[in-house]
Amino acid sequence: MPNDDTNVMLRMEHIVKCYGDLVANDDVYLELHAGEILAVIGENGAGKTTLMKILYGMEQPSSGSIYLNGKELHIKNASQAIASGIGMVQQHFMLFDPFTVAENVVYGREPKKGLYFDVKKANSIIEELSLRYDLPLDPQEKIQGMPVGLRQRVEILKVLYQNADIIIFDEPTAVLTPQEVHELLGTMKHLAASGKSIIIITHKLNEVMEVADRAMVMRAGKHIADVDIKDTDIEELSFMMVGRHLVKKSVPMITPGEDVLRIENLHVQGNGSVSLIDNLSLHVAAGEIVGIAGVSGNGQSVLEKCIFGLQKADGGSIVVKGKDICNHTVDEVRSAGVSMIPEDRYIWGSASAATIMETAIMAHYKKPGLSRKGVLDMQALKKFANGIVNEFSVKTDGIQLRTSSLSGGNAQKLIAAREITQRTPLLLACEPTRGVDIGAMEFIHDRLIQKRTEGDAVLLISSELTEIMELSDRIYVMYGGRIHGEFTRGNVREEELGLLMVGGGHHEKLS
Amino acid sequence: MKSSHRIKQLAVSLAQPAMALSFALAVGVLAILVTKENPLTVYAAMFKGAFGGKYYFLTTLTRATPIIICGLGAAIAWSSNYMGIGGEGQMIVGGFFCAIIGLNVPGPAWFKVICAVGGAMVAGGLYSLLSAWLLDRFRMSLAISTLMFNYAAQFVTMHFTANVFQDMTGDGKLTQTLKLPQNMRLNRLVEGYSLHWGFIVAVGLVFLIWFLMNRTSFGYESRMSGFNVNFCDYGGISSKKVMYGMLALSGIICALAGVGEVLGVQYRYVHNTYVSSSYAWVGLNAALISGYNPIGILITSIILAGIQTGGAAIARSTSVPLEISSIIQGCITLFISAKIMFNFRRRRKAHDAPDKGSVAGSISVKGETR
Amino acid sequence: MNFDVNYLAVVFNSTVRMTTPILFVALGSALCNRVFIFNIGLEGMMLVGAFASIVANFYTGSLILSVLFAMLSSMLVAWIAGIFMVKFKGAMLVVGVSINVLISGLTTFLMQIVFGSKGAYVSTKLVSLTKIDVGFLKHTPILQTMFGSLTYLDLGAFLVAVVMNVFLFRTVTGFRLRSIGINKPAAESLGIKADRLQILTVVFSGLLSGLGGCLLTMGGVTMFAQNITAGRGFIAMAAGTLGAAHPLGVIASSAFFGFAQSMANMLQNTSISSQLTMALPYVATVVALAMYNFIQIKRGLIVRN
Repeated sequence: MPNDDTNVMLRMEHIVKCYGDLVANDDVYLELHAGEILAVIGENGAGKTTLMKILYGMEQPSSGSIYLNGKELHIKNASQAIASGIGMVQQHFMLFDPFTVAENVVYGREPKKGLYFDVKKANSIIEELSLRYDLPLDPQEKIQGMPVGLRQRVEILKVLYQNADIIIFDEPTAVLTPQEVHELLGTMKHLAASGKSIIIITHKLNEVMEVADRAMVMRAGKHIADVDIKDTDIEELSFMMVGRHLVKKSVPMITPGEDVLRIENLHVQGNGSVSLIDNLSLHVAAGEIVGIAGVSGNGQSVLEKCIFGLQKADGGSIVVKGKDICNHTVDEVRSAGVSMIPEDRYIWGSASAATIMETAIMAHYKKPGLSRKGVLDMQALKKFANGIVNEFSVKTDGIQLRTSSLSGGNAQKLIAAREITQRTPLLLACEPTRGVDIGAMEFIHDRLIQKRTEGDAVLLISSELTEIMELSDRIYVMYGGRIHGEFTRGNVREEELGLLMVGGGHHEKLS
Repeated sequence: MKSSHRIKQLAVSLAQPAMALSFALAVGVLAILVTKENPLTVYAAMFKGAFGGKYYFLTTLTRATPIIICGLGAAIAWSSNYMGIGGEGQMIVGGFFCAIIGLNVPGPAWFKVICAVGGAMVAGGLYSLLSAWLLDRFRMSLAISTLMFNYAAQFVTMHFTANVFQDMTGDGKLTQTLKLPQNMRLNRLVEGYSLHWGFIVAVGLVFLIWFLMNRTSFGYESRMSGFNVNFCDYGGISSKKVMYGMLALSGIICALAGVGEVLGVQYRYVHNTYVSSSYAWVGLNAALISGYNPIGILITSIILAGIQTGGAAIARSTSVPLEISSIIQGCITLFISAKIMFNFRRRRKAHDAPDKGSVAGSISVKGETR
Repeated sequence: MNFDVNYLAVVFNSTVRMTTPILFVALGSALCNRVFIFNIGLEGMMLVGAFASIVANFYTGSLILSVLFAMLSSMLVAWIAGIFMVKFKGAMLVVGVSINVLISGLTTFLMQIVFGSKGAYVSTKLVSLTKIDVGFLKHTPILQTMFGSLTYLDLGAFLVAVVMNVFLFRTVTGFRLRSIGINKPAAESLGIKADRLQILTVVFSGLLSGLGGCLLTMGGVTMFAQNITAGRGFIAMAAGTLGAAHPLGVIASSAFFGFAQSMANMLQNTSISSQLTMALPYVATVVALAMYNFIQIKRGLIVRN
């Protein structure tokens, strides 16, 4: 873990990147030493991914320069980056499911015999790489059906096949199970030990503490600080990342009322032998925010879809205000009193090509006052749409513009506005502030608390532990499709939750 | 700000069809040059043959009638992303059943008309629903199934017309049914010319469809379904209901185009007339050119019908074959399809910042267009 | 209809002759499917090839030039279609339908100018494709019936299928081509010029369609008729899908349609109405595709929404 100047392998200096008025990178510099693991940390929107895209040739800097081993580089595209020895394991895997591991890894630089694809040679190269870097993979196995952790391993092999000396990992643990995270961190240490230099972009500070040598903090497009990991701790990093100590929200005490949602013994099998949800029970009362903490990928998406009617359950009951809605249609679930802020605002929550008004009236337009016998009342609908846009401060030039003209945070606010305005007894909020700027996040949090104050129930599913801890009256931990713990506000520490989220610790249950 | 924005939007949406039309006319010029005629005089003659004078103009409108209706039928399906090309088959089926029911049902005239029109609508709707069912149950491409059914419809109706319902009173040369009685026919709008009440019905349908698509729940659900099916599922809209509803309606409407021709123009079902005049295809083109906007379809259909009657006119007076109109039309829709490029360029300049909102993980897009 | 062996041999021969034009186009369609292009314009490309071959035939009387001109003209049309679909990102269905309307009009337009007639043009002065000499089979009349009157181009169709099989599954270019249809963004991000490959594929499918068109006009009676393709391009697309876009599978599926077509022709002379028999290939297409998709759904290879 050297950090003297003589070992600086990569240097990015005075990087500026502007998208119109938005300054994504503001005079940023980065230094990477040979054989080290550097963590680039910051919140969503801090500019870390932009910086890495510039390094990998996917974007061009507005100004600034990159030096590799002292020589200046102009990286125009990914191929040039790869040629210079820079490889990136991206968040969205670029894999071909019907092809084998070997075919995917050698893609683009296939070993040839004349015009023919030398498959045998490809297979043996993979075997060799696999052994050398301790990344066990069967070269002839097809990608289809492989779990996420293994797919990522293929991406890593790809980068190694391309002889990368610098490997960039972009939010690598976002979609991994706790076990896979553990394996990945081990892999990274192994790679660094074999001489590779690693940059990891993340906001998961516990992982940073475990695997990185140094951390570079970014905030609002600027390079804030550089620290050696051994000299710092999570609190300090968190403070630098956010720029302030997270102020605990004051939440009024409320006595919860009757159960609004009661799930008993829910079971979802899915394909294969592993069940997606295994004998899950939980309940949410009126006037409560109940949070489900967990690493993304432990069944949360399945749970929210089952409750809402978008996915079939194989057993169990989901009772909303006394009515079992398990395996009912979405229309029936909504009528029973459930609304949802979906996990992905573009796939589920909106239609990008539709106008803002059209996105805003979904699931409202059939209500009396907004339409009559199938005919829409345009005046009333416009008033309604403008109303929720104003109430939730959605920044837009007009509701007749396309939904795609909204920024991520404003789109999320629009969706939250639409669903909260449903005034249903139960609201499912799924990753409600993912990828959203701080202002919008605080706004949405305030509105969720307000809904609780008004006597409704909120089921909050989020992979952001701070969000869960701030807002929830009770917290369940979900891991591997099961509930691994239930706690009340103030009766649990973050470390305990973190441990349960990765499958460790003993299970606490309220009596 | 808002009204100038509106005007700008209108100008932009007209600019692309206008450009496509210009390019297409340019190609037409080339084709005319091959025939060694003067393009300018030919185009002038085409225009006169389409709109110059009462006879030509009314003929154009008569021709436009089935085009408008088929265009509407295509538009409602395509705007929900159900890209079927079965308008021709549905029109044939509609016209055929209208004629044979009208000829063989007993009772007073008004009763016969209702049965004939109703029967035609049912036939067209069912014909389209068959393709819908194949899509739902077997994931069969709408384009392929509707296309095959077009051919099947042609041959099957030809069989029945020639062998069962053939009109033997004349020289028997044309494959056609007997004529419908006078009291079942649609009256002419202007004495002595071909324009009939079907045109008024077509215009009425334009407004009806506009209302349906823009002012009703059904229309909202269909359009949203075309934009993002997941969004509709999440909102509680049954995408199956939308699909079957839209496609049935589309079939019913296209069948009405056949009804119009039978009751208003030929007063019988004649084999191959709809196919040779390509009404359904021109209607589809009108829908594509005007971006599925009903009012736009009305105008575009008249223009395209004009190109056809103009083409027929110059085919009589010059050595330019009447297929010049298909050439121009094919070019218009071809150049229209490129409009996506212009949209793409405009949007990129305004919003270039990357968005960090969607879920990690690959989203693979499988399967062709519906 | 008597079912003796001779009759079956005739059916075989007729099936092969009906199959090969479809096979050419179907192979092109299969290739386009592999790169995720739904090329419905193949009907138009086949038609333009058919027309161009007769035009060249009319003016030059040369066999080679006719075939060449057919290939070049359909490649040109395919290139235009490819540009609009890939470069301008035009909706594939719209581009394809436009091409078909355009070519249908253009060929009918031009045939009146060149040949002076609108329906069909036949002439004894036109040269036809060279037939393979099966004189050596004259001792087995059955085989002679089965393989008589076949042209070298007919044989060519099967050869192309075999070569395409090797190309797709053994060469590096074939491998990359397949990857584009599986995940185009991934291919592009990994340095493959996906757009270029897609356009080249469309152009090649045009070439094949042109050859298929040649077979229609010069394979049997040398002639051109208005819209002589009569939907064969579309049937070929169905054959491409039915054959799972696999060259050897496409041979089988094209043969199926070839058989349906030849049965339709044979039944023409019987008591079954000629119009109904003409509908046979089209109905057969729908039924075959439905069954194929049904099997694929059951195997979980296609998801029913």
